[in-house]
Amino acid sequence: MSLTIGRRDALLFFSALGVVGLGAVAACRREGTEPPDRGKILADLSAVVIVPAYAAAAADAEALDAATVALRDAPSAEALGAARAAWKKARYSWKTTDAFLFGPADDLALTGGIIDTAADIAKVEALAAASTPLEAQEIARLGANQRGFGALETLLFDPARDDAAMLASFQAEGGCRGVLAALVAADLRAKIDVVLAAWREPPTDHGAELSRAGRGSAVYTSERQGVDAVVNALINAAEILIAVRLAKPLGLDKTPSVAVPELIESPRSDASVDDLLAVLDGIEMVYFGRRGDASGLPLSDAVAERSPSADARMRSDLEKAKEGVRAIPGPLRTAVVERRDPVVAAHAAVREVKRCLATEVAGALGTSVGFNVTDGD
Amino acid sequence: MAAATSSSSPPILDGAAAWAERVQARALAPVDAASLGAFRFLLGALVVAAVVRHWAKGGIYDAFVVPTHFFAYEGLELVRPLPGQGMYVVYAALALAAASLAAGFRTRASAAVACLLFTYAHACDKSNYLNHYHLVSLLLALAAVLPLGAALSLDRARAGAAATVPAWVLWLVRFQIGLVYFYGGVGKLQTDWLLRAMPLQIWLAANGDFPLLGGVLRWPETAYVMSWLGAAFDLSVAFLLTARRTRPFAYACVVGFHVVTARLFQIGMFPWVMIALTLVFFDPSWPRRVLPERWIGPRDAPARRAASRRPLALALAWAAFHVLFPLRSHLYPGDVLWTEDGYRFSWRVMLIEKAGSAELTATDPRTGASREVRARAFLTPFQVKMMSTQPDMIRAFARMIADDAEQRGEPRPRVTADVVVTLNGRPPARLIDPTVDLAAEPIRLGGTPWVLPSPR
Repeated sequence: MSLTIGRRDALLFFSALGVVGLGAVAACRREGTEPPDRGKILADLSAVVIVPAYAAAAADAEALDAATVALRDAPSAEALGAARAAWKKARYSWKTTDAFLFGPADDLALTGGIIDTAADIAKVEALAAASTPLEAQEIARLGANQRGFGALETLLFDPARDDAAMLASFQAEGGCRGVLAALVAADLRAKIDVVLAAWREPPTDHGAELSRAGRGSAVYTSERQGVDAVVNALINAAEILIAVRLAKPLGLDKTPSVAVPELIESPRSDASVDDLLAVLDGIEMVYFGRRGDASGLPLSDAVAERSPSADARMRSDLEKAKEGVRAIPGPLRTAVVERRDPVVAAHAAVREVKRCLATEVAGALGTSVGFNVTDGD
Repeated sequence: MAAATSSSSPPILDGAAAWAERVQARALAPVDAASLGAFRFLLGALVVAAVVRHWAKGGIYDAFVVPTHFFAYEGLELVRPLPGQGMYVVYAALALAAASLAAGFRTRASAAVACLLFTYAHACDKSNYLNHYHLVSLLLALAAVLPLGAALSLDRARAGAAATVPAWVLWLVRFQIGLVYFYGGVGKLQTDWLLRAMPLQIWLAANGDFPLLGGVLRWPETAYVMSWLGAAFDLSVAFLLTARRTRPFAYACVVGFHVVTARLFQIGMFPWVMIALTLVFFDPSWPRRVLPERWIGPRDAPARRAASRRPLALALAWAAFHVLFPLRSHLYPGDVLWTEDGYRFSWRVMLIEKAGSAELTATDPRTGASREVRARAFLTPFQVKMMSTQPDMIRAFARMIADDAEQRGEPRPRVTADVVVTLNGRPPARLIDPTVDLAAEPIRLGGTPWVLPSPR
């Protein structure tokens, strides 16, 4: 039997197939609200949350830089207090960005490498006690554990010394501590500026790339890739809170469970609980698509559209986690040793956030679709 | 044979015997090997392309260099990636073997080497399992034993033999590819796919950026229509490709289907593999319309030797095995989409959207003291994601934790897992009995009793 189907027949066949398919969709279509546009969610997330958060972190780092310069030039109790307040503000701003640690901050290896590494206190104190101040160009040669927020915290805070003793160390002859603090702050500011620039300026302009996910972005060739990056960053942030920031200092990862307060973040400034809250704030900002008074189309709408129960649980879990962390009494370094129960409860509450993100939110948004990380070759 | 039985057998047996005789005669009759030559070339070329792409995207590094632990297949615990840069050598050798296969140089040996290397690379870690890797392994295995170098090959050019093969060779290759579609369709005959349009509802909602149709794809109703059309496509396309009159439409559907799925989902080379390899369903001589005769070889030259029945019998055994093996999940208790017992190697394609959170606890049996185990301390993020929803991988991870403790001189701990999983948009449910010491659980062929009932 010969093949007798021509182009016209084929065209008719596929036209009919298309009409039947679209007709079936139209016939089944119920009136209702349109599902949220995930492209707009990503664009708003970039414009309302991520880029402004990095801009705020950069602005706060600039203020910190100025405060440490003032402290170096004219050490006083007021200047020390102002520098400490600036450090805490800049620290909080930066920690909120842990919730969206993807793209440049991750690619540039700045966060883990320089901006936010735990300090080697002995080395930093040795630098501060040197007889001659460090030169500006020497800062780049220091290890990550002598730079960034950790080093600056070491220089500005010390629970073992009272304020007068700390001030005296800044007023000491040679002024090494003040010079070092100013240099580290300037270096920190420069690093955060690089991350901000990578998010909002060419050539990377990562914020624009995320906004154009699936609509011309070279980084995110589909909306789904953009949503995957956002959701995976949220899960990762929650995972680090549980496993690193809480479980390790509590000693939950060892038998017997003995607290290891040296492993908490921001130990000398007693900002550890604020660090935890900042990350949860960051997660909340991303999920609800709002930062301060500004708000956009939120990720929560896309979750609620697929699974109202998942959205309700995420809201509830986030609230409980923040309550749990706020309920930690006093500095975390003492709470993990002396009053473990509230810390363990906070750990459990944050774990629910991670669990909800990894299961219900990820499941509702379909972030696990795809063969594997390298696209299935 | 028919003549011998005709005097004493019932007519129905006579008819069956005559039919079998006719089928056998057709199976052994020579057919043009041109399309199989093109198939072999495309298979080899696609493997080369996949190796280059995988290498360029850092896939070798991510899959073999970064991980410190690997999920072995049961019984293949000794199969491990080569240390250091060894896997780059394996992939380079794979590319060479596949290129040699494409050229038809030492065709069977090249295919055998490519099959061994490809299968080895993908047997190192269960996390990387993909249905189409399995398909490529099977097709390379077939290329190692079937005369796929009979046309369009350097081997044929050197030997000067006829570019023909027994028809059953062509049938077997078509069968192997058709089976993927058919069982893919059979897997879709279940309530989640047909009555809840899951997981397509979830996946299509994530594709609002699809050109022109993005808005429509987000509608739940679209997922229903596409679910039913997808099931109908999978179930019927192998048959429609086989029938001459429907073949052009069916192939156009194959192209359309795979181009759309390639755009919708991150499924790498799979769509292009299927678009290329389903060309084997066309008339065996189709390459002669586009390629010079001297490249392909003459189809009218006498065959070097008469076709034998023994390979045909082996081909039937191969086919029977591959019809039955994917059905083994029906021998296990429970819901295969939940337990995943018998899920792999059964052509269940894109049927589940699972997301999970697995928290494992190691308990010192002497003191009863427990510690949380951070999966990321052992596994890559991708391995964690895979492990968190697949019971056999969770059990394997529990054993890794226990082995690690023993290697550090600690007593072998009890390892339990609190695993919560969402399946196809359902509320999360606990996957595993959290009281069971998974590190002490043996591999079971009769199902996994510590997997809790499916929420479906």
